[in-house]
Amino acid sequence: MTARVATGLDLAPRDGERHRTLWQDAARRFLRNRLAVIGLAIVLLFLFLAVFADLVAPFPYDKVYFDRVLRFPLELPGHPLGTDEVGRDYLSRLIYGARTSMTVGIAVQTVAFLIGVPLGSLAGYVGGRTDFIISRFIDTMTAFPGLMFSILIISVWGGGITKVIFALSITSWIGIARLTRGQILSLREKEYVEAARCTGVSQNRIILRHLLPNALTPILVSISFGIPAAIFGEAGLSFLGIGINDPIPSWGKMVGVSNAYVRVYWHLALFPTIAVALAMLGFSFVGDGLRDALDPKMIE
Amino acid sequence: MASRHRIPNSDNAMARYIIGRILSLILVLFVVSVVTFFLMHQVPGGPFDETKAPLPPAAKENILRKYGLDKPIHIQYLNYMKNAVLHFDFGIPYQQPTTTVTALIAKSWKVTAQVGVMTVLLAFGVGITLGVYAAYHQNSWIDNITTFIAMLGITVPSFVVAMWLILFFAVRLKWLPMGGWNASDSCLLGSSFVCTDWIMPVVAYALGPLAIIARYTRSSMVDVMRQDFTRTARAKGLGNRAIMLRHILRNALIPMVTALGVIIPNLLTGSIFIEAVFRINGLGKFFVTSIFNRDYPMIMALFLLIAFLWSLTYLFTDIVYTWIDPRVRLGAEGGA
Repeated sequence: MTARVATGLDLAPRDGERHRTLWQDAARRFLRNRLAVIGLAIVLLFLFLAVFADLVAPFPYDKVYFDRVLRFPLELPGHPLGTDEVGRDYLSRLIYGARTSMTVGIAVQTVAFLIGVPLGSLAGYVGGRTDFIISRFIDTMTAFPGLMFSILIISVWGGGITKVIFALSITSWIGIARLTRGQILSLREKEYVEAARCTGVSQNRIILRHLLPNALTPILVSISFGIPAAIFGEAGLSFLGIGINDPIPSWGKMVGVSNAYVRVYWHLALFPTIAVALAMLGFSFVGDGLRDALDPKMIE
Repeated sequence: MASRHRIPNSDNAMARYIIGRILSLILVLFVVSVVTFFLMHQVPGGPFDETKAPLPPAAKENILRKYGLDKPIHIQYLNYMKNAVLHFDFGIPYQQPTTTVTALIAKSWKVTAQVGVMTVLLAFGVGITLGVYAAYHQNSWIDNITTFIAMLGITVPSFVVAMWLILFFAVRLKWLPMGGWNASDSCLLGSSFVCTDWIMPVVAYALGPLAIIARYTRSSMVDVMRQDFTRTARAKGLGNRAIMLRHILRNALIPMVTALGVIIPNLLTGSIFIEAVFRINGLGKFFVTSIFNRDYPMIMALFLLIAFLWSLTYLFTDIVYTWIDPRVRLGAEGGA
């Protein structure tokens, strides 16, 4: 356990004094932030709906009732939010839509993390020519119209949830890579890293045990803002009619389809737009809350 | 403006910086064009769909030759780029073979530009005003409203806001038309002078950038208001308005250039959604119909155009930023 000694993080609490870790501190600050808690509640609700959609939704998402096409909310018992243009229960489709959104949001950010963090750490720690090449690559990708490129890829390879995740992932890792590089760059000059290096700790171990844990908080914040961005990307692609394929429900696609019916069947447009907006707001509140809670400079 | 002279050798560094950035812009455009070109040629099912009307082999060969599709792909790419760069000729769109891609773009870019310019004006006008008021009257109701609008504009996608506007102002109140642009029945005082169908697209489109601008203005105003020179100005008895406009706002606007760098590229892609919701026949709408029609030359040209404008705004805002703010170090490694 040389690493723990070197980081100096395991200072034993003095007798009689309650010791709080960084994360406990952050959690306390987070829970005191009203908006962050509201955001967390929204996010948890959507995650719950996404995971337990099969149990919560009153109907399967693709069950078509040809005799109940385009019904308004509360018009028929059993369809509290009405039915859509082919007679599917709208509430059920909204609930399953949460599954699509959450899957895409989390999957895209997972890919972003898995690509961005190693690439950024490599550039920041190794430096020199490696850093030069990776940095130029990041710069080039930054000047790339990301969403347009996703549209292009989807239009060539077709829609579907895996392809949407892939298309959105292509540019999603750039911010995280840049952030990680900057963090590692500033952290690697710190005394404790030098100490670790002096005691002969291997390079991989320095990166994994000393640098990354300390660089983690801004990365975490960046991911919490990346999830709504990915949700927006999926909704946008599906809105244009090229993202998620039928019959899988997607909020964006529901909004896009509703555009043709909005003059009369307002409910088709209203509910999915509220769902998208709530999801985006929820994740953003959580992101704001995390940033404020994890940034020690914010402590008054 | 004179601030550049404060850094020794800054002209030299500036030149090197700009040249470096232009080179990387060319690299970006090269990568973008190659990737797009090869992607486009991977599309399953070409533009000449034969399921409905099979072509005789000779006719098919003729068509392929006419569009240059019989040559190897790298030759096709080189031909394409040669024509595009030298003659501004992006080929013939498959959806309207009687005209050229350049002509089609020339016909529809004006609408998109109109929407864009009005959006930028609204976003900056209202955004800066709100930001200034919010900073000056901190924690008042106008500050709270600004914070609320900023939150909404930054997080909620433009097409969602657009649908809400349609639901409320077109469907519910029937005050505004559902969509269109410069439609004669929605214009006052003759054609396309003042049109009511401008309102919803521009408002929906502007809300995002407006939010970013208001937030930036407010926070940088608050920063500058705490500076010593502001206190000095107040101590020597300057009026509130003079301090606000001449001392605080002028300094607070510097970070706005970074905001521009975020906003303009997003405006370029955002147009796709706004034009889709409001059925506006601009470049964004063309992009979508071209994708559905598998019109390679059109997609290629539009994508290259956007990539070009996109990287140009990045370059421009970075250069302006280093130029107006001497504190930004030039040629620093990483260039972040």
